[in-house]
Amino acid sequence: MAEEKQTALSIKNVTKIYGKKKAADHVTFDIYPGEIFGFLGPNGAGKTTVIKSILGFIFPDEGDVFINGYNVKTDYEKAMASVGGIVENPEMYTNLSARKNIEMYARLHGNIPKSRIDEVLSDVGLAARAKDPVRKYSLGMKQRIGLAQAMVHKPKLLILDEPTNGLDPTGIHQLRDVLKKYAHEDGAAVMVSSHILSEMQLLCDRVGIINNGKLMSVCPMDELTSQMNSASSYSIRVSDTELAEKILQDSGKANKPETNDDVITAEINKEDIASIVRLLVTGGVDISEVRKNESSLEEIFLQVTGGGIDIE
Amino acid sequence: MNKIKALYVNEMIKIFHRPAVIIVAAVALCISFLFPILLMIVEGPYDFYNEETNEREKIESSLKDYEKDLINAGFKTTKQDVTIEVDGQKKTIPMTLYIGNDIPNLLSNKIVYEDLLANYDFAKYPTRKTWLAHIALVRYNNFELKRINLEMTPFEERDAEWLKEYDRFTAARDVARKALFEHDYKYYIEAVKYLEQGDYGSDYTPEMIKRLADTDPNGELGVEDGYYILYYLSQLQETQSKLDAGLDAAGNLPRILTEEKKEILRNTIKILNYEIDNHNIYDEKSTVALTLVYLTGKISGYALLVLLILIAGSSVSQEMATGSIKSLIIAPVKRWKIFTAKLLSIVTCMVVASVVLTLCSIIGTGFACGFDKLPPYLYVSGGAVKAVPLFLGKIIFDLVNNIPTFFYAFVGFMISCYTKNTGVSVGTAIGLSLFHEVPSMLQSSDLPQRILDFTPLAGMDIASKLFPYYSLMVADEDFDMFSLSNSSFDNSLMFCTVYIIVICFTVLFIAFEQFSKKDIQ
Repeated sequence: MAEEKQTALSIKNVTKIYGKKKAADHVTFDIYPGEIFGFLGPNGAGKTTVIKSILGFIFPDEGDVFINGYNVKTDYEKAMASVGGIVENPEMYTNLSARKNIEMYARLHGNIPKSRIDEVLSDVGLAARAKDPVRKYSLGMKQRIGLAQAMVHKPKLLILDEPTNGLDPTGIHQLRDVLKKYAHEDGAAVMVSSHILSEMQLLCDRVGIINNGKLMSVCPMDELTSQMNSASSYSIRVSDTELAEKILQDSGKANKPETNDDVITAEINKEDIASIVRLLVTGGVDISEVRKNESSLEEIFLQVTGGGIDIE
Repeated sequence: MNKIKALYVNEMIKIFHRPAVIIVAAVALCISFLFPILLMIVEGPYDFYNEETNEREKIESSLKDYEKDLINAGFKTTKQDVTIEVDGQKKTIPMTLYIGNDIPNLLSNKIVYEDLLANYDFAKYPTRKTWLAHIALVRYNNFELKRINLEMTPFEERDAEWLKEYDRFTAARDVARKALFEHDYKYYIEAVKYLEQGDYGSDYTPEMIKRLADTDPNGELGVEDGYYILYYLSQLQETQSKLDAGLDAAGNLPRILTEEKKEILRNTIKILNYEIDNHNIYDEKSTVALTLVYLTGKISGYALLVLLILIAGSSVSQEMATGSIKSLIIAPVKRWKIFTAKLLSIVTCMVVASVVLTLCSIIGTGFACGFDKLPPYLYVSGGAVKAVPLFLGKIIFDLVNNIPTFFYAFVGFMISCYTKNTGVSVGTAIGLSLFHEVPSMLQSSDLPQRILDFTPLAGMDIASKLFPYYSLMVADEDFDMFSLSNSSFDNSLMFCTVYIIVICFTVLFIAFEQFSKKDIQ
């Protein structure tokens, strides 16, 4: 069914090889209007390679990228007309003012009224300092200007690489609101790559997970959250940890039990918690606390990518 | 086109906001505008021959110095009657022998200056202001010197041959003195005839002086004006002799003149005749003004080179280094359009910078020497000599003459696209452009001409071909630092044009391939 929906971005079998290394290996996924798509992966996984392939920085060895139905290879200008983005850090002409930077970018998109430039500068909270040269800006301010520039022509697809870098908590909150409004109310598609996984949980509708150039999984955030909830980590404060660990192992219902002082932690299915507690009490172990540990997307990511890798 | 226009506007904004570019451009402008003015302030008015110092006092002062120097040199005079056999008859003549070290110059100056102080009317024909008086005095002194040299010969070595020479130089001295005191070219021409062919120097044949006399019947011509008219006369003579022989010098090899070359030489003769007959257009200050424009152009040419290489050599690499290229790549414009806009902005800077620097040098010179002293550029059209204002002629000339500078800016642009490193691209392009002077230096050495013919850009001096008469405006003009116009190849204008287009296209093609078809990381 997904194929029949109009896509804002469609990546088909994109492959990029550097020497002997496949930085992107037949990566295929779609992004639809009105959704925020999170793109996750550790260092060197291929996130930036894919983003650069989408935005025309690099030429894929294989595969195609369609933006708004236009192939980037054959209809470059039409495809890029509906994209806005920030790759890695937002780099500006530092001797020019923020306004001049945005004006220059807007000029390349044709008829963008000055009022729209005022509007985006106001949206990102930099209207008052728009005439200052960018070299005087902090990283957070540059991120905001980068976002303003990326959105000035109201692109149907917004691609942001690590957009929360340098933003303070308020800025992150504002960014989240802006992006959610842009996707959910204005109907644009937003693709975000970030190493702040909690942000992804709060922001994204779907996520794609990439490792070693291969797309490991693409699924809705809800599905990931329920997966998190179905096999969660619990901590149980007990009177006798050795006995409790033995009972848990014998039960076959707890995975990877670990002991720390008087607390034993293990992965336990939600529906098995009651019987586990009963077994411990029956076995002579006093329980003073049972607490569910908050799982994160990081854990899910580790599960999907096989674990044992450093998360950015 | 709209996209390219938008990119072009952006590029120009970026260039004019780049601090390094602004600094170098400001330096280039200051050099072009202020150099002629500062030079005039530091050097003072170029009026060595026109200085207002009292000439009589100056000569009196010099005379005292000469007298002291003669005493220090051990100057002594001995008189004796000497018998010499002339045509079989013995003659006894009272003679003088001068003794001392290095005295002839001192003595000739002393004798001539004493004569001037006693008999010459400095107010009427000042020798430091009037060309005829100036050259007549030089000639008078010169013949007196030759006569004194002969009087250094020991008495016993004086023979008939000596006596003949002595009489010749005495007569020559007397006629040169007459030219000075009576202020008449007629006597000067007569004096010059006493010289041997090899003694004329480059400028002073009797024919040339006669022509000069025709243009200056009352002997009112200023010293520098006279000098330059004689320079043009010598050029005229040289050009005519080349035309008559049908041969031209090319390095160390003679070269048969083509019909095209002969036409240029014929036109050159017309222009020289025009300049000689209308010598008021090239008075002393005009010559100074032209020299200043030329010198300023030379110096600001180096500033222009650095400026253009900086602009072109950082155009791509700076954006790569700072990452600002990203906003261009993300924009809906194809890379060839970005490349084209960058190239157009560079070419615009080339033209604007060249024109502005030329104008500045002319305006600066105008302030220094007077705008009315800027002579026009002369050329021949339809068989008649025509003139265009200097600023117009020089702007076009400099645009053509700066082609090698533009080429090295393109080289910087190519290296910038290839290495994505501003330091490397700017440094290498400047280094290569300076290295280009090596063949010019070699050319003045004794290397075989055939080797020099194959040096890059040798004989590709389009400026000298498009403006064959420019060199007539400035004495000793050698066009520019890249010029190797003496190459025996003497390539045609068409060949030079095609050659330069091909090498520029090749360089830009490599740049295009690098920029448009490679990944940007």
